[in-house]
Amino acid sequence: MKRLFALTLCAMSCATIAVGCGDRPDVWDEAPSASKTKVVGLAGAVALVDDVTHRAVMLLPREDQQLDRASFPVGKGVLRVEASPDRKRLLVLSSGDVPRRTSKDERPSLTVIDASDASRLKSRRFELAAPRSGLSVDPRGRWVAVFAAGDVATTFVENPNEIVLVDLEAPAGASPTITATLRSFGGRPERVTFAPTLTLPEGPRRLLVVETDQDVSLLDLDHQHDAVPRPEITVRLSPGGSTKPMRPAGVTFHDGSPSRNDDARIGVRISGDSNVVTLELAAATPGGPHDFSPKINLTDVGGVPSDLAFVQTDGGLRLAALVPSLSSAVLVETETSITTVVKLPAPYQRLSLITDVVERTALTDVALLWNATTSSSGVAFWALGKTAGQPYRSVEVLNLGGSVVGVRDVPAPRAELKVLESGGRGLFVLDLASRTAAPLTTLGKATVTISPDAERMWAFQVGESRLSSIDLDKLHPTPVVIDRAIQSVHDVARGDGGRSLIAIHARGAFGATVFDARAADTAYSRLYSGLLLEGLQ
Amino acid sequence: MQLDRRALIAPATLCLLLGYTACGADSAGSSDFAPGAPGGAADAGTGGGGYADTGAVDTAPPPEREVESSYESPVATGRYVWIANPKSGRVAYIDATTLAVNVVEAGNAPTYLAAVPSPPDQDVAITLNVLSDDATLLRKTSAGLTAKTFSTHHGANAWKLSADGRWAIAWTDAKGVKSAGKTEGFQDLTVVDLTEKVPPTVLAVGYRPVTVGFTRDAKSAWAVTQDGITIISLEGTGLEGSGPLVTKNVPIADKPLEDTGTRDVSVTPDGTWALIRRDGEKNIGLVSLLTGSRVTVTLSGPVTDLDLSEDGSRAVAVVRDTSEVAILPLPGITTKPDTFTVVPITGETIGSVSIAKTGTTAVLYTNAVPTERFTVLKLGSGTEAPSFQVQKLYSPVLAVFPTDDAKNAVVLHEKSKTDTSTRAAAFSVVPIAAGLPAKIVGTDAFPMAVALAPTSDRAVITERDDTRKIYGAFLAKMPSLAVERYPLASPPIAVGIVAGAKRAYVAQEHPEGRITFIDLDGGTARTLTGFELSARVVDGSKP
Repeated sequence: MKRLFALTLCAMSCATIAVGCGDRPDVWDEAPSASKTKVVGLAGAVALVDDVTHRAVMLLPREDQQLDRASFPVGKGVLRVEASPDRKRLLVLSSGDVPRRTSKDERPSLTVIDASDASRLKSRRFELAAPRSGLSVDPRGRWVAVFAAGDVATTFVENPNEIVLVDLEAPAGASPTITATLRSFGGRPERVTFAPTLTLPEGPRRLLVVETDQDVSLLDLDHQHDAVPRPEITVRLSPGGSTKPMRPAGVTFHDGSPSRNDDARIGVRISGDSNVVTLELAAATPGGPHDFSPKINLTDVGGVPSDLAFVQTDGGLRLAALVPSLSSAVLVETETSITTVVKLPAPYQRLSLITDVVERTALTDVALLWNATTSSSGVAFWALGKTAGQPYRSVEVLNLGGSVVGVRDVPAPRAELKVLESGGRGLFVLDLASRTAAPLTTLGKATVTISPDAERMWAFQVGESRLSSIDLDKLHPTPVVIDRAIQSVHDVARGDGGRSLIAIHARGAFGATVFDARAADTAYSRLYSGLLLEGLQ
Repeated sequence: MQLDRRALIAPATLCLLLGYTACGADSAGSSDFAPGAPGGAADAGTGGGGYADTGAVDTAPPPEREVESSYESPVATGRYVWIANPKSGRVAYIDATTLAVNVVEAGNAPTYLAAVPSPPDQDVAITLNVLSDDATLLRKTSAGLTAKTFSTHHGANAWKLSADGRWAIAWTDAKGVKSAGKTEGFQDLTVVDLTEKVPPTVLAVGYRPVTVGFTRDAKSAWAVTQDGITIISLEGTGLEGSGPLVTKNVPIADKPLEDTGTRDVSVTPDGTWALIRRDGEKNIGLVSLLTGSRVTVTLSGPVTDLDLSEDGSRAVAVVRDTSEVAILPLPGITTKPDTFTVVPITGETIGSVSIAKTGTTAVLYTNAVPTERFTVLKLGSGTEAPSFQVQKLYSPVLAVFPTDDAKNAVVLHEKSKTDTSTRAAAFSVVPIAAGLPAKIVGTDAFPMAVALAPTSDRAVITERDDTRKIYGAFLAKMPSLAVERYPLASPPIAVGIVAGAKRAYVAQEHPEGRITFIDLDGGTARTLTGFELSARVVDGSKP
């Protein structure tokens, strides 16, 4: 027996020595840190993307505040992490091994983790020819555009006009990645936007709109798998006789009349310029590479617009431009470039259409105006109908005693609610139906998370342990006691139909406190620590 | 394809606004000028588009005001509208069917454009580049666009094209030159052979030409000047070889050294005769441009207007004092100056005449005194005697524009002093052939220009008030007389019809270029702004 014990001890010692003398995985050389870990909330999970261990740790809540964990490898050198607009996919853009010295070194890549089914997570990786830090995700979920964002230098020489399109629903036999180099007249992409499906002369079409620092390019996504992909259409915004840069500052879309296929439009705002540009996507001259062609119109709205939107008025479609310097909105008749100035009670800078929420059957739009610079501006409801003597029906101000810097949507079935973020200590819950705004005061600058089921919102202060749940029906705030500093909170669906609140703590190897989101009670919460150390080998 | 010239009529309302009376129309080879008047414009005492205050001493009405002259920028060919941008050195050409915009580099400061008569499969325009003293011929075919440069003399600002499209004459219209001194004669003109068989030729004609024209066979050209009518042989032979050559100058007055007053010169399309009218004179002079011989036709009183039919077969003269119209047969009147038809327009005041393109009907009116009516005169032919009817209106007449088929007319009105309405002015659409009542349409700004479709069933009228920033265009449909107004975002400067595309265009003042197209059938309007931006769309069709 003694001999057996001695042999066992000897064997353990040898094993320990053997392990101690062998190569230790690199992941043990660097401690987890908040700066190298990105946290992204998904519909049914929370992802901790750890650039030290090159993996995404998926936190999957179950009943009774239990938390499953699953790890998926991601590329090295994480450059950007985003959730898809429907929050069902996680996208991780990585630079790979830089420099790449051996064939085993990783190439730049895009990792897509499909979390639409929490019980069957799937991961796909798309290798890229060069590292890119810009990422734009199709709201419809099919496409991902990877481009050089300019904010992160990834290689000594990079071609900023090279855009990699990743088709997550590529047809069989087609390559899911397509590399397109946009023709450039000196510009480089600054924003990449997936347009909604637009009705063009030859049928519905998806377009990728690339705003560079001097022009706008339209890429026909539906013809990128062609044997010879259709080239992009470049709309140069500078007339050529001037050195003044015409830098696009944002785009907006309209599909046009349902009965027409030649009047889809793109509105373009120009940075620091009083002109707005509309591109009408009409039929192209036969014989060219495209079946549509942008017809350009330029309209001076009298001042630099801060926001643009296509709106329906009694007189038809108009492009509405908010011009804070004039405390006005300017309605541009898209067919004729005729402008109508609507004086506003404050220099509002942002505009959101709320017609679907407040007047679903209305033929004219209603817009919410916000983010004015004056202290007492609040928000305003702008009804775009027409009454005698004025080109709009009404502008109704809701005075909140301060300016509103952010408007957060509440999803269905409470889409009539908006959460207004002020610059100071406080929030407002705006009810568009009753046009009331209920104030909620906070002890510090609050960060808000709205539950996807629209039943509640969570308010907390980053780095502090203060957390409250606010019932969106009765606006009753309930403090939730939590022991550790909060980095973020996520209201996540569970497989059993319930919902969990996962509060992430960035200290050490990251931890999480899990509550039942619908009945948050510290007594029934669970704390999980060292999440980034689990599963390491 | 050559666009019918009537489709491009845009009366020089600017002249009205400026108080000019001498904005001569050259479409029928007629012109007014006042010798010695700087810039060639004569001030007849009326201005601002209003009626002259005749005062208590001189009770005679003022002269008739000529408002049917043409305004030639931009220009339309069969399918395209061409617009020059002097600042960028480019010419934009817009396909009026697809509204696709392209630009082409021209010379230095392309400014004055003209449509060149061409075969149906081509659209051709020519521009004068005022800083490089040359011209660029732009030819658009299905194969693409070609550009060819020709040198011109310095200071040219007007074009005249021969009907066959071979010859172009660049000349200097003194009316387009500000503060021209008396020693500036603007006598150079450049004859350009667009087929390049003959190099561009600079010729000197008489002092300050006011209009230039070609004979129907395009073998000769003429220039009406203050020294007479200079005749140019286009295929002549001189000391410097074959090519355009000034062959003679035909005086148009018995005493050319004397100030002859305001003269209205019309030249027959075949270039054989010039008809000369002088304000306040009852004689009409006819001068043979071939022989220099003169014939005088004496009417019953001072001739206030003279118009020549499109085919040159007859001229119509108006004597306001006696309310008579004289129909002069051509060339018969040159051999029998006493044989012509006089039609008394009893009870009417008439001072101006405009003959419809058909040559069978003329409209008679006066804008010297407020008159709310005009007369439609059927000129008669063969055994058919001339007859007339009076058309009642509801506002004073400024100008009358008959359609090519003479079935309808557009009448521009001025606001009378007794009119208390808030409207600035008005126009009427008149079914003159059907004899139906006129439809009057009030306007918020002064009517500026009229374009008539060569199909005679559409007219476009623009209005402009810079002070109140009211700009608009009206589409009038005939024979329904339906009128629709289209507000414009910026001041209209020219209006025309692109016959091949069935669209009207209204060019407007805008730093980046703006033009509104109106579908003549559907009535939809579409504005394009920023031609050069449109042309800078790159679709990858070219390597």
